[in-house]
Amino acid sequence: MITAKKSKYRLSPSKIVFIIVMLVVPLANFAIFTVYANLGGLVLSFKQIIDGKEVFVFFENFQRFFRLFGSQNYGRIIGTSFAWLPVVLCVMFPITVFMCFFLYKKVPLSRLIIVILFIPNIIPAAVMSEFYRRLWDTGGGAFQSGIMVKLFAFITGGREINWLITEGYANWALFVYTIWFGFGLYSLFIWGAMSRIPEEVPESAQLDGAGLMTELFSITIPFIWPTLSIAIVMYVLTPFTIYMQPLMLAENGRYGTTTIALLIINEIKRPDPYYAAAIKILVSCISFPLALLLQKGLSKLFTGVEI
Amino acid sequence: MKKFGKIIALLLCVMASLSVIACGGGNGGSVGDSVKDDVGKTGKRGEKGTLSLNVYAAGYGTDWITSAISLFLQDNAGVKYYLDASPLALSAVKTQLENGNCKDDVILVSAADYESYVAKGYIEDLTDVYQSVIPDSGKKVEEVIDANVMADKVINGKKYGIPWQDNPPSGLIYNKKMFERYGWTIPETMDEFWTLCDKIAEDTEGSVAPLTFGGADGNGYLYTNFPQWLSECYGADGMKEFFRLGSPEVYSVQQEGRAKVYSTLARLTKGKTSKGTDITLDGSVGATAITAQSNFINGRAAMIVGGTYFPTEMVDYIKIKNFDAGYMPMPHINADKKSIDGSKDTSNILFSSDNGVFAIPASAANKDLAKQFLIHMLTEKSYSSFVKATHGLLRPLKGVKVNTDGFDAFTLAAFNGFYHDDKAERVYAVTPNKVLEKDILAVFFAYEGGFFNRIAGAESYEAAKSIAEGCTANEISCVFKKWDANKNEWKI
Repeated sequence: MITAKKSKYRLSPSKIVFIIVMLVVPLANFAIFTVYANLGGLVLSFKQIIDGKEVFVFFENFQRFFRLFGSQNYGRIIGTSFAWLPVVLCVMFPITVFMCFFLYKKVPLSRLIIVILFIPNIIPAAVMSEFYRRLWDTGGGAFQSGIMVKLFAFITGGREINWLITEGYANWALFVYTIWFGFGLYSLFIWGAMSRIPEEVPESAQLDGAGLMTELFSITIPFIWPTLSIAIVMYVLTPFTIYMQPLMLAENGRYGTTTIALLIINEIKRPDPYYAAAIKILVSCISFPLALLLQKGLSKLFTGVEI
Repeated sequence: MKKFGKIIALLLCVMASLSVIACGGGNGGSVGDSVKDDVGKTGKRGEKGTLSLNVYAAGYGTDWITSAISLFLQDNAGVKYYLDASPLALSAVKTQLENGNCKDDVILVSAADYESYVAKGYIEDLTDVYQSVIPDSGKKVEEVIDANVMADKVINGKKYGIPWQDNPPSGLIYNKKMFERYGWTIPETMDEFWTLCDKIAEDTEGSVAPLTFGGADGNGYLYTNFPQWLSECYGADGMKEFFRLGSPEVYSVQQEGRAKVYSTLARLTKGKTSKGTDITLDGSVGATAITAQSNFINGRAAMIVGGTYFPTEMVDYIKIKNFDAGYMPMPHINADKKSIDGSKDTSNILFSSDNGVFAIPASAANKDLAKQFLIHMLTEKSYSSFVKATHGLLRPLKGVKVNTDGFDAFTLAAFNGFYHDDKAERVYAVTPNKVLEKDILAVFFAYEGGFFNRIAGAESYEAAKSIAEGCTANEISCVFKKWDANKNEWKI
């Protein structure tokens, strides 16, 4: 009797159903919130309301951006946005990597440190913001009120002022907030990636006399490079996406803290969603290729290591 | 140790869950739990015969709308109501309108959103409402609504909203018991105010600061006082000319008044009393509003810059401390209460920024009912209940009597300060192309609007005065930056 050989690649109906069900939600999510939203934004960027009607204005919204560049201080807004780059890339990122490494090496009290690091991520942002604002409150009151004022006056030798509402200082106060409370999200990924490194690898390195720093730079980082490179790309895109801190802590971008993303949000709220969409398209023309090029470049730095 | 870690983790989970649970409850995000039970019979949102309202409610609470609803239901037997009132109402309604699932009959629309809602057909044409007669007065709606506030809201000859409320300048809330104990009198001009500050420092031997404010929140709410003071310098006609914003010269023409406002700000925030103590409580510039209010109620300052929302916002704290607060309008900037050239009496002038309108969504199920409600809110009894519930706040109306029976002293003082016996000369910040509304410019624009913290944050009064003196010149240069000289128009 001759029987047909079952192809090892043919899927059973139940598996096909399973795959479809698992893909439906993310595909729908992508279709609605990425494709539709961005396509909608693209169409909006060519429209405006004139005499109470929505009409096509072609490139008028884009021209308006360049026309208002000087008078609306867009140069300063771009500068403020990119001031975040060294903060997140040169301060937050290295501290995050070092911290995750020492947690991965199970230093004493590492579990407690993990809990403390992640607490800000489970407390609502509005609560954290209000708490931080109180730390800069110069009016007295509860014991912790104004503690940041006193601390930074001591460190800088200057007057006791509320940095959050002082131009020239407000951005620094936002940087401090971000560095202090911004660990958590990427730490989770990086620490998780480190935890997957087989124990035999660092053990054998230690037997060969490798110290902690050698282990970090020669073994750990290459092993977790795919995860690290994603984190680096996200950090590099910070200037294009940061808005929460100036919005919640600096009274909606006052005191010189407005960023590109906050500018777009404020234009939507004005409401001028058409102009906001045009700014967003202009920003995407830079951020999107930058992300792709960076990802490509970073992937060539270290070859992936199979675990 | 492991067990201890698990207990900590469990506690953290409970804490996190509590923060989420606490956000729920109420009627779809409304303050329904705090609405009085005796308002009337409630119905379902969007059903026929149920008046559904979605309004903004924050510092002034909800009494202003629940009392209006209650009075309307008393005159309209059989009608039910549904109320959703929250600080997020404006954005929630916007989302519902854009998604086409707004089921409310009466909503609030901000000045910024008005034009786009009209363009997209979200809100109903209410031009016929303006021709309707108000039940108790026999007057038409258009006769009682201040035409200035609706000047920029007429689109193709039609009106799509009824003005909501004024947004007047801040006043001074004062410690009534302290004032009575020391025999201090209420100042009517800034000159009298400086004298009062000297007296406060003298009588309390410097232990009580004359004034405090929450500089970390909205410039201590003083930002509405600057245009008021400017209006007192130039009168209603002068300000109307300014708001035409025909060219940057409108700022230059008012240099004298503007310089006076900037220097008043410097003295208010950094000045000293005759005893050498600060007029303003130390730390006020960087204090949050809540801290400032707490300091005031705890007796560290005799007065605080604030609005008529104060009794509602601080009701619990006031009860605990058994505090008695009085209200006085911010004193007139000129000693003779006239314009800066002395030619006009400007004691009755009242500045207000645009605070939006009541509107009826095009998708409303009870449009006629909604229109009747909006007209009913213009009756004497309903308007009086509004003023009472907001502790003296007015709507942009003229010729509607307010019955002050039952007004407490705070409310009466605020009401009289705004109403001026219905003779208030109103000035509204309504500009062509919405250059002010779009934040392209501001009434006071030195350092691109950043003058407050430069002046109030100066090291000393002399430094603050020096900055204030430079503000008018700086303002002119900032304003010219926004002007396109080739096209003779503002860059927008």
